[in-house]
Amino acid sequence: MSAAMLRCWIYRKLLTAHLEESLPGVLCQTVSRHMASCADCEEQWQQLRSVSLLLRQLPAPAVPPDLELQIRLRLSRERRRSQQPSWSWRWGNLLSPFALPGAAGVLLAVVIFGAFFPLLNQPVRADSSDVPLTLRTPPRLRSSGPISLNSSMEGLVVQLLVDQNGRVADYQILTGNYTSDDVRVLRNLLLFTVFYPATLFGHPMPDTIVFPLRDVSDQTFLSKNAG
Amino acid sequence: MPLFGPMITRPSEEGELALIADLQSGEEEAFNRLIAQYAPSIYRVAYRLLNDPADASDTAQEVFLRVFRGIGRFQNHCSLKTWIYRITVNAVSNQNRWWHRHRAQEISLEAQDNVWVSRHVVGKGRDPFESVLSQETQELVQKALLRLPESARTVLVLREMEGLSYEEVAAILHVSLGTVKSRLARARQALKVELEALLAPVQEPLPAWSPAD
Repeated sequence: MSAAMLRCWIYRKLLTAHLEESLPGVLCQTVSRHMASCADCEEQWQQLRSVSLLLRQLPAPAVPPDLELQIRLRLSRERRRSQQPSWSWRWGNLLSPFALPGAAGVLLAVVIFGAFFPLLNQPVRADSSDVPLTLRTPPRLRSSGPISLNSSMEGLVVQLLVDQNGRVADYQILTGNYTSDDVRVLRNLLLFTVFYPATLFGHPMPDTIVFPLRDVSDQTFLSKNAG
Repeated sequence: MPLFGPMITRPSEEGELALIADLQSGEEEAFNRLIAQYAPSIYRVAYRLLNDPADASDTAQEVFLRVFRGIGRFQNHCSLKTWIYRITVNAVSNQNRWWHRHRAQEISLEAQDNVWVSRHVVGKGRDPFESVLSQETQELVQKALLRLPESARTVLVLREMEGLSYEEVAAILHVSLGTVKSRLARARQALKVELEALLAPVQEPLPAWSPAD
């Protein structure tokens, strides 16, 4: 690049500022002197000035007469929209009449549920009529005859063989003092005494029990041969 | 001193401060004054950047809608004029993006150039030849302007056509003063190149008829 071309390149960088009249006085005069002596730079400057003038001479587009009206209408709609209550406020306003009845209803439901829940949720208890499911159960006293025992007989302990129908099939006195009359009374008592038979896997079967006679009065017995 | 938007763009006039206060308090009359003051210039800028009257009108409405929504947050960091012009430039940019996405493939039934020329007849009382020449020149300049990139077109419109100062253009575009000057120089140069390209003789085949026939 020659010195003249370099000088022109520098001056052309200043042409825009010269066009804007924003160069300092001395620099502005220097650029003007250069353009007076350089036809190319002068042409560049004239072209830039022409471009600027052409732009400024472009006619202003005609503004639609109803533009302001349209803008005001749109702003009016926007203002009305912004002044409308929010959806949360609307829902709150809509539901507020139902708030008290609703709350009362919920409270009542909770009270009723709390009152009846214990009844609905009672623990399951074993029924006395349930059949024991253990492997083997001993005979149990079901009923006895209406025979009164004297005091000496209440001390007797007998071993009984109870068949699968709950009837006493045989007996043997294990302990106690007794007379022949006591044996007769005992036979009569055992004749009218009924047991729940012993069971194995739920099926009745004959079995023996040790039976104190004093337990007949309170309908209890001890099964010493169970197990 | 702030990096962008020098102090001279701050509102210093009591009238503007009062107008801003009225706008922020939601006075309808203040909005009417604002519309009357700025709507024509906003429309002109939008029209020159978009070259479509309908889009320019929509953009002007959109600008005032944004002003209405955002005036409560306006904090006097710049003048009201600068703020509104900045909103306009952003709205035009959004409109251009939308246009490129949705309408770039559409072909208008109107011949835009003829519409533009017929709508902007100037010098009706002048010599018809001069009038036509002036129209064609303006048409060429407008066409060349539209061929420029958006940033170059924006800076030319704001500076050359709207006559805003460098400082105002810098505040509107949110760039430094030096950037505005360099962009403006490049934009003028680009416009000159576009005009030269438009004025270059078209290489057409020779006509079949000649005076020798």
